[in-house]
Amino acid sequence: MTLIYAFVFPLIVIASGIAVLFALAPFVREIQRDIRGGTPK
Amino acid sequence: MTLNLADAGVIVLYFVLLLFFGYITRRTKTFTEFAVGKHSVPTMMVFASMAATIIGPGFSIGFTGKGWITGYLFYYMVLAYALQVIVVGIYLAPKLSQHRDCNSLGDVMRKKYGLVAQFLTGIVSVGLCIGFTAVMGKVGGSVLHVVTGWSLGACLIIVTGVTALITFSGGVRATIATEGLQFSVKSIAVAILLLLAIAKAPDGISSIADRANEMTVQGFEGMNAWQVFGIVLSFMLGETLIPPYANRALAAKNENASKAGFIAAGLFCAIWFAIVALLGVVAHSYLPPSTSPDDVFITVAQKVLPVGLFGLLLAAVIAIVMASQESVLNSSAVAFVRDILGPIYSPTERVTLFLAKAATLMFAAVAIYAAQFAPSIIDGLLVLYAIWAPTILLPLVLGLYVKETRPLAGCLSILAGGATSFVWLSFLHEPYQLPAILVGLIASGLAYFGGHIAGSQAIVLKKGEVL
Repeated sequence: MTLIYAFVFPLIVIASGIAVLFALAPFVREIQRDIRGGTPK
Repeated sequence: MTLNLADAGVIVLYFVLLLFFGYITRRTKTFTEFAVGKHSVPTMMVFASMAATIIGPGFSIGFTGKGWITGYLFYYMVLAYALQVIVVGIYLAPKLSQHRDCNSLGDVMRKKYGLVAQFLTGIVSVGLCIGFTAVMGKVGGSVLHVVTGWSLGACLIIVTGVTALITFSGGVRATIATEGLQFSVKSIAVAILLLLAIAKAPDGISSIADRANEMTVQGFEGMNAWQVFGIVLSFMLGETLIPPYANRALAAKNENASKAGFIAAGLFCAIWFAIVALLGVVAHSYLPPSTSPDDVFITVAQKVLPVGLFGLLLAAVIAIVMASQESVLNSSAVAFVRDILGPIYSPTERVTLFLAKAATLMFAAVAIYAAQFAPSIIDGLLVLYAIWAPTILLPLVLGLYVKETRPLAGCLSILAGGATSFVWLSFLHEPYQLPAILVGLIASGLAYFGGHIAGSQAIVLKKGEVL
């Protein structure tokens, strides 16, 4: 198990961090659109 | 510890990025926006926010300390926590998301058990959130104190104060966005730390694996079955649907986003717990046995990481503390305004929003004061778990499934569960090694059952609301 914890799990965690960065951009754009009084949800 | 100029630069850069991020996302016009972000948060952000909030200092720095002493022992026990998040995602979070008219957990409790239950939920929620803020603030303050050498009091004020300033101006959606950024920073930095620590370790991976197994067996031998059961139960139920998590279920854009976000967060936690526990085992290759468990995380990072990356790791530690603090501070303000003031005072939307923001700052100040008396990370969390589960959990879960709820059942369950757990823990000091959380839950269940039998059926005022 240690091999998986040591090498596979860190890569999954890094991939998750990068994936969230990509998801963040549209979410922030939506907040900004709301702040400017754009299209309501 | 003296901080290299490059490392300090990375931390400053991180704070600038955080402030810029805060500037572009923070402006709240209504209380509903402040509390549940218009119920518009997508799956990926529910996941990131949940994971960032769960992985506070206890489940990172604290768990590396536990791995340092007992190998994978606490990892195996804390898997109960990950399982709990997944089960909540499947069965409870979607049910909560159905309450589109609710801004807080207390709102849901009011719909099921009436105003008194909402008020009691508010009291417990605010107390719990201040407790969490204090415990996390103490960890963040201690790390800053070690890194900078500044006084501990000043460091406590800086960590919680900055979090409060970032949190108070924005609502839950801005907090979730910031947490997304913080999630990315800490995921990447901590995973790189483990990979480098293993790559640079003088002993190979097979001897690290042997050491981990040996320490885990020794750890199990040092505990009896009741102690293991009590800790597993605390991890399984202690944080279930606490206000910041419930608020994310309420803020999700639909039931599917809530469900998928919670399940993904549970799976991620199971992976995260393994890497921080293993880091504690690997740290034996670098540090003397006399190292304090709470210092292992930072000290091994200083030994392993090159200049610049260590700064990124320190930024990640700040992110770990701040992400959790932001969520609980936001939830404490929402619970105060909605659940404690709400039943007795109905101000205008503008005043409500002002009160929520003022409450954020006020509770941060209380948490800074309380942090001086907070126990160590894991011990502090276990005390807070013993309060939450016996009070709110049972009536909340039953309320989501029982159709004809009775106000007396909800109120009695909260009071009896809370009082029993508190007395069992604080005055009797858990006799027979029976965990307070278990005794409190039994009392809560019995009181609920008694109240349900004795109490008159709720008077239906309007669809879905009871008095």
